[in-house]
Amino acid sequence: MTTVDTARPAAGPTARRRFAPTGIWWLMWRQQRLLILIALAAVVTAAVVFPILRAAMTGYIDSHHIAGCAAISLDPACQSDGVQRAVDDFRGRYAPILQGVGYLLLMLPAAAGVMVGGPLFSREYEQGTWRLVLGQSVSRTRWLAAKLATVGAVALLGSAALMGLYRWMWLPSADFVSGVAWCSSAFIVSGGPVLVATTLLALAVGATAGSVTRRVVPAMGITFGVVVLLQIALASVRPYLVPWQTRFGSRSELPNDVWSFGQGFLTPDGKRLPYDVCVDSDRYTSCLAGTDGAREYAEVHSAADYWPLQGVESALCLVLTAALVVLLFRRDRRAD
Amino acid sequence: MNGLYPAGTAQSGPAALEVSGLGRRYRSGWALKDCGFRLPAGRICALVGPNGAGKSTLMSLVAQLLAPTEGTAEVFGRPAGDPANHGRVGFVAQDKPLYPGFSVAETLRLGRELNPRWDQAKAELVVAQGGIRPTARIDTLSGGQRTRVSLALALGALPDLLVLDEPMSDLDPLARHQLMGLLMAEAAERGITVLISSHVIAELAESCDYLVLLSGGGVLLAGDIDELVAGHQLLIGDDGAEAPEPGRVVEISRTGRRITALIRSDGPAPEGWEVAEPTLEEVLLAHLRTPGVPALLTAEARPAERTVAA
Repeated sequence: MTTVDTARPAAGPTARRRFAPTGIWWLMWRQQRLLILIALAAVVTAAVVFPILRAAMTGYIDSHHIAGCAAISLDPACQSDGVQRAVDDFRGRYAPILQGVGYLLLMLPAAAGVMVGGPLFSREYEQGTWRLVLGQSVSRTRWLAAKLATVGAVALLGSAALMGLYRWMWLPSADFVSGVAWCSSAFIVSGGPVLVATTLLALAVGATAGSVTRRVVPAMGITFGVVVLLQIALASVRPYLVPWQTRFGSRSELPNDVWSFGQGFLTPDGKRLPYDVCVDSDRYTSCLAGTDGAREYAEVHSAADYWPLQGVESALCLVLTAALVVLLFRRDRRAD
Repeated sequence: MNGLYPAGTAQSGPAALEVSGLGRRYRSGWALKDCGFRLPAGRICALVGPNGAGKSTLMSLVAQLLAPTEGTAEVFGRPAGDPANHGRVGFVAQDKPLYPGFSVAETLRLGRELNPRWDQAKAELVVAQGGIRPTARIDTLSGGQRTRVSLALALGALPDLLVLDEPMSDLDPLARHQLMGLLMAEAAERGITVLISSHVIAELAESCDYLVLLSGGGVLLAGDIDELVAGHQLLIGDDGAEAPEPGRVVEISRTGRRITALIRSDGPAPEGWEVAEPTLEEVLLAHLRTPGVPALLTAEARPAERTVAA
């Protein structure tokens, strides 16, 4: 107890200090630097790996002249010898990568919500450190805003960068060659702004759960459950967010870039029969004949519906996010 | 509020803290109710009371960690949250919260970054006097060392009002003595006001010159310690002695034929008693043991009467 150590904490070099965060932003950097580094590492990895993969894919497409060709294609240019095999080969090599990255990105919202959003406030409450920060000259509102802004910015930039790189890698083989369509479950969220909006929503869900429960583990558990349910709910309402078309004809004649999300048979009196109405029947044709001249139909979104769909779903997520953030600030004003 | 002193009296010096009608209700009930007192600037005030008396709630309200359900807490003549009070109130919570993954130096950096005023040399000195290396991680420190780092953080921010919630609870007697010395030196040097809570009365009696006794969420006693003690007499007598006026009696107890009474000394002592000056502890305990005893606030401890709630 008698040792006197007068060593001062090392001051950073002046060149670094110019860019170093100060005030509450220093605390935000100190607390979230691991998250920032992980996000940076993920983006850098994607920025290195995805261009290599993309170059490999475009190289394959160019050398085999299969641009725009699908596994089954009506385009005469795609009917020449070897195209079929080349497309199959391409799909065997690259489709699992495109789908795998897509599904990984699909997990990003839940991961961000559980690992970043959930502990954001609950850890401060659990360890009592909110009293440390607010015991300095920092108002609750400022602290709340700084924390949300920090993780929000990291999530926004990180998810946008990953999404953009993934989308750019997907484009050359989009819909046709790879068979990974814009409407596929691997891509529809992961390859567009919906990914960014859902990630922000998951963060807000986590932050709110942490602010309510004030315990880290329950907050993370609740966040996981809520985010997964939200993603399931969004997936089930997704096709109905913007107007769609009903097309008649055989399902196999639909173009590759059309999203068909409901098929069946429509009888002349307007009754809709399920697509598998005759699947169990021994005589498929006579069974169909027995359905009073029902026509095969499909509810579809054309490729042009992609941006409206992304826009509406993103807006929905962002409105929910904003509502949760408002809730957080209102709770905060009550100061419990 | 009490009948002992006339209302609207002279008050000594500007108030560092003036609390009036302050209340805070939790789901479980009122933790603090109609709490009012005044703490003049420059005093070292002990906030004492049994567990659950509302000490931590009162301190959290003063430090702006809690919003009051009713009433006001004014710091240096302005509402506690007023921008003019930015950086003037320092607070150390009971559990000494610190970020476990930070080093001591980073913890002090936190204080430097989050406060408008900061004395790095002072904060480092407080830490160094405890033999704590700046590179040590907080989660490797002992309870006493954590208290010292918390206090370094609070003192480094150069507060005018320092609020310390049970700062000595996990310290050995030597460390307590050292830390009280540190506080006293700071108070003498900068003339700061200190509000320090404890449920161990003796711990604070020698260092503090002002006292607020809380019980059941309300103020029982408030004022200069010497004045509070002088405001009471200890009567020792037997059945033959003249009964004191009931309004003056705080506590009366009988052991066989011997009767001991603690009374307010606002009048001549009744006949037939041996009169003694009570100790501070006797005054406090008598008030805590007697349900329904009227509150006693000295003139300088009485908050100004307010007709309109702020």
